[in-house]
Amino acid sequence: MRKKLGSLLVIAVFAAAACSSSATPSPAPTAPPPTSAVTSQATAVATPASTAVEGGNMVYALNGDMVLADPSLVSDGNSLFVEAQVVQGLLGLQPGTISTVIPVLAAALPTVSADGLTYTFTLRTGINFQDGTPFNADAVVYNYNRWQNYPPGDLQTNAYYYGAVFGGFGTASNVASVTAPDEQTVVITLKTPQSNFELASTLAVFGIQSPTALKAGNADTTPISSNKYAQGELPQGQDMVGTGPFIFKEWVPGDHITIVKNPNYWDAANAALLNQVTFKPIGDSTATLQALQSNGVDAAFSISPLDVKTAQSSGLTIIDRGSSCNQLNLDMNQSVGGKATIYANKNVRLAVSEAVNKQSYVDAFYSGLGKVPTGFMPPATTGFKAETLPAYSVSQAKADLAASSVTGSALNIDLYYPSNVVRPYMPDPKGIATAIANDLTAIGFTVNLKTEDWHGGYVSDATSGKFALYLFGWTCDWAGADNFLYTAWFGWSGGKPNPQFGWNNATANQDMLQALQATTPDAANALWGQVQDLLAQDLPVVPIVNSQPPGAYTSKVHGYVGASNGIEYLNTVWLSQ
Amino acid sequence: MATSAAVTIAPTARVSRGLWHDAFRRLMRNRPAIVGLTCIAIFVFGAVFAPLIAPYGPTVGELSNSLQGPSLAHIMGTDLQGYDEFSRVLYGARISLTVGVIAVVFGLIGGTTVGAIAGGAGGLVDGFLMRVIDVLLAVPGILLAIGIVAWLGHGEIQIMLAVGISYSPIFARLLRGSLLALRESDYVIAARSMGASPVRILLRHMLPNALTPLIVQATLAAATAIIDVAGLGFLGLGPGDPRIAEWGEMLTDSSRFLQSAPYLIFFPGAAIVISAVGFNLLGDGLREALDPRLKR
Amino acid sequence: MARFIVRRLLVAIPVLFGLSVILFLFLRLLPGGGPAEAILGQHATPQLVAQITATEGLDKPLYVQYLNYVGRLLHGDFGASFIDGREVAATFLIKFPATVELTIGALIFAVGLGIPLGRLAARHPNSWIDGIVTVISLFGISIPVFVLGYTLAFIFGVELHWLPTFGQLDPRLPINPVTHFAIIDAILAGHWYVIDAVAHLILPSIALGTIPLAVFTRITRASVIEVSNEDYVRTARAKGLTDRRVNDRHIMRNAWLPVTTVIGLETGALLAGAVLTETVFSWNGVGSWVVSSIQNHDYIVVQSLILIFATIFLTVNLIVDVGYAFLNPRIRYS
Repeated sequence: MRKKLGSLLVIAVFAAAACSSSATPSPAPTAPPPTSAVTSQATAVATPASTAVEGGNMVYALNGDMVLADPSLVSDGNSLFVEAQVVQGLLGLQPGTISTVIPVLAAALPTVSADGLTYTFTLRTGINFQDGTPFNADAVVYNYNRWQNYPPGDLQTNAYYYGAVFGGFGTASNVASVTAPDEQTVVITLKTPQSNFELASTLAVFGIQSPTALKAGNADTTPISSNKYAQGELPQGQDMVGTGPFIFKEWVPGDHITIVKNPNYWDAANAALLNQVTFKPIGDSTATLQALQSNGVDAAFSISPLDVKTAQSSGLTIIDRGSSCNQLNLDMNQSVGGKATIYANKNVRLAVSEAVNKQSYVDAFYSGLGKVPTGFMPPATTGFKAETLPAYSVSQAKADLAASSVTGSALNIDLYYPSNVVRPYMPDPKGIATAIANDLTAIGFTVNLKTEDWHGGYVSDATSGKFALYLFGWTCDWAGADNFLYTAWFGWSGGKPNPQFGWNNATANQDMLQALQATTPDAANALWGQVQDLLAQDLPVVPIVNSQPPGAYTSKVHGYVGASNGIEYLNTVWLSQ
Repeated sequence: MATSAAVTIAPTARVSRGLWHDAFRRLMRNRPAIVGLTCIAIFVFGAVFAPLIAPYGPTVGELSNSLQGPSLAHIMGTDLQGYDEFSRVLYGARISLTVGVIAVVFGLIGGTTVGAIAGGAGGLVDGFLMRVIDVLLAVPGILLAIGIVAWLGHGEIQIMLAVGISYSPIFARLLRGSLLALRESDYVIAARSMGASPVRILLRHMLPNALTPLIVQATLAAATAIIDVAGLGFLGLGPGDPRIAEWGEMLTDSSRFLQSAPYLIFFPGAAIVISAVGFNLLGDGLREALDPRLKR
Repeated sequence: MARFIVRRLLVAIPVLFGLSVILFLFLRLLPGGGPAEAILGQHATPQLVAQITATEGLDKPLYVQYLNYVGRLLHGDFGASFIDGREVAATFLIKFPATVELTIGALIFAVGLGIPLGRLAARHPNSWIDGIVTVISLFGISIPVFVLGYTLAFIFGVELHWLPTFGQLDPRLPINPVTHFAIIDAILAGHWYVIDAVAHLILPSIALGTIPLAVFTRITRASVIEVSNEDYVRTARAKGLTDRRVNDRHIMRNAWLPVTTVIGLETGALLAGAVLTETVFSWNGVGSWVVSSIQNHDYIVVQSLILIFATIFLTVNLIVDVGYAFLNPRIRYS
């Protein structure tokens, strides 16, 4: 998220595009995120409401612990997954989708002024926070102001997403004002139009918490190490107090997090069926599988794709997460340390693109739970355009490599992969890097496989342009073209191309800036399309896979609705017997 | 790191050609030691002649052929990359045995240098060096090794260094202990009174006599080194290039196939266990052979 | 004796001080990105990195950072993690009991089984019993902990459903974490939940205890054989004492000495082994914590933890040496 400022200070009406087809102006007033009407492939077994059983305690394996109990201060998947069960925002995503925006605490999608600067939300009425205090416009204003006024220091650095979406804190924020003309109305005024406003507002970090609890718990205490609210150390009902179907009960760091049913949930039809969910961090994929098989846990957010067949044969159901929201690339940096690499030669990039047998990787490392990309971001992303990418052909790759007239020791290349990390798009970095190295060897390269720890240098070395050929990917923050193409990868900063790629294409950068400021969704999409055409022409990266990261649950679990952005709602889940 | 109990052998009296010869004869009569030696010899043979014995190269295979169970074409099956497991176990002997031995050599070099200076010099130098060794000993070996790999980066040499350094305190202590005992022995006092220089006394008279416990400990350490390298691999700190066949790396990569392809754990695991047992038996045999007072 | 203990304690001070300096320099000079990059990961921007560096005081000269660190340490403040902003001491109080339980479980397994096995082997030296015991202990030393752990979990958890494969307690049971010693908490909760806590402890203890088991078996065997050949044992036998009495009064009492020493040495090995065992069994202990902290370059946590480990190691060995003196009155520390 390097150039978030630019990326997010965006022009206007494009917002509606985010909501795509479903953004009909009249969302059903009683369609909160967890609608039981959701039809998902994941729940083939499911669940006419009549057969659903209430009660029970589900144990759910996450692949890591929650970091902080205050959703506005986290940016990691584990925290957000837990907190999305407890805290709700004005807007949310239709369960099981990654880009269908629906109103949650708002009664309807906001009305947007013609200049794209003013968003007016009408709130639902009769909702109480879990501590019994009323949810109203003042509470929303309190939360938005709280985020914007985080002081410099650890609160700001932890509130990564607020800074990323609105370009900064205090006066640097793109939010001009948040006001409550009446109990039921909130008006958010921006300084510059921002097309991703609605889609980004669905992030769980924009969940509204009880102002009473926030104040009583001194939630703005810094440093965070002495902030009891953020550390989740306050008693039940005083910490992480939202409006959701579950209430935060207890957190023993490293051991478990417990949430319990909210008996007074405002949308009775979609109240939680389970009495309690206990989240258990299990970092190791083999241990996760064994915990599922021995019924120690009922469901796991992620299992290794390599275990999918074993899991199925022992009676587990694989969570169907629908269309992918991530992409793994093989990046080819054209300039390292100020010097042109062999990848500055278009024929070399072409040869590499043709040499890799992507389908074989999808089959071997993803158990087929992934697709060979048809473009430069996942197809379900708004603004996606399908491109004709070079097809796998060893002979063509050899011919192109010969045409590049790169020979001799220049063909001796380093390929970097990260250690000590598993990403949804990259379940086995070492294995896939080995396979790529073999494919490149087959067309005449001599490949040295090298690795660094993901946290211990890989990310910083890759993003600062120290590697020439390496694996890198992205899971969407929100499923928009800006998030992948501009924020994650190709946006310029300081008037220079991203050193990660050395892809010096000023036209593409201009197009992206214009797309961010386009006034209609069509115009924006056309511009994003042009950028993708330029990418297809220049091939600065080789898209390797869009994966559907698997999770699994036992035969006792019903009503699970999967989504590929990592946020799933557990209120529809129930346990048989 | 699983350091088996430190060997406590009093340094033997003056070593002569005759004594080494005797020791060898005793070793050859020790049945478990012969079994151990045979285990190691088989793997050394496999390592040396791998190109002749192995049906495939260590990196020959197709992804489409991945995770095939044992068959006539692949008697130990194929791994995730489609490589022939049998060939990799054979080629793996080269790397694994080398890594184990070299790691111990690194440990010996570091440990004996420190131990010799401390034990030879005594006094303040000894006190200081032993505190340094205490510092190292106070940190669990595997953490020391993790830190060293984090520092030096991934690679075989780095791993050998990391494991070696984590062993060196033990060697240093052992050697220093022996040397301190020898300082007061008759022939060292005699040499000193004849005016031999301290360095000469250390190198010519004391060191050779203090080697016995080191040799035994080194043999035992070679066994643990192979296992420790596997442990580092499990923590994601293995050698960087996964195409290199190395038992520990093969084992850690396969631990996730416990259910779907258990043979991938069994064969490299068996290779590690057998060679570690071999080094252990040999070490025990050496201990008995080199210290005739230790009767079975 | 008192003087001996005091002297040992005094020696520990320069050791710990030296360790803190080495650790500090080592961690600060690690290549490949600081904690700011580790916290932010792919979200890192130069501005955010600079901001964190400033708030955490990472831009000050190294000696200032070191003095600050030691100053806080002397006040009992171990600092807070960069990654989750949590006090090291607070997390330690949750995780350390788990590791202590695991270590004790492993020691009980290793000593409880190792000493009888060693005695059994020593009674019939060079027999087939001896051979089997030797082979078992050799295999114990030679199997990597994680392979043993996964295999145990697969057999007893997945296939037989006899024992749980992860964590310290069944998360479905209503047990309040009071002391964070799972067994004590389970006892406090009543309802025989303690059985569940013990069941969770079995597999990890076996996995972690197997290497010490092999060591104890071999040491016990060797020292029993050695003591059996001593003159006073022969004398005792010649006097016509029963086998049992000779064993208990004369052999085991003396054979305990080397075994005790090894228990001290093995404590360090157990802490190291815990690093792997805790990962395999999702055990919420300090072993897996320190590994992830090293990998995340979370300096404060690593520094504080390794200092704590070292202190524990030195303390245990001091206790062992004192215990040694009690067992063996011939030894006088002066």
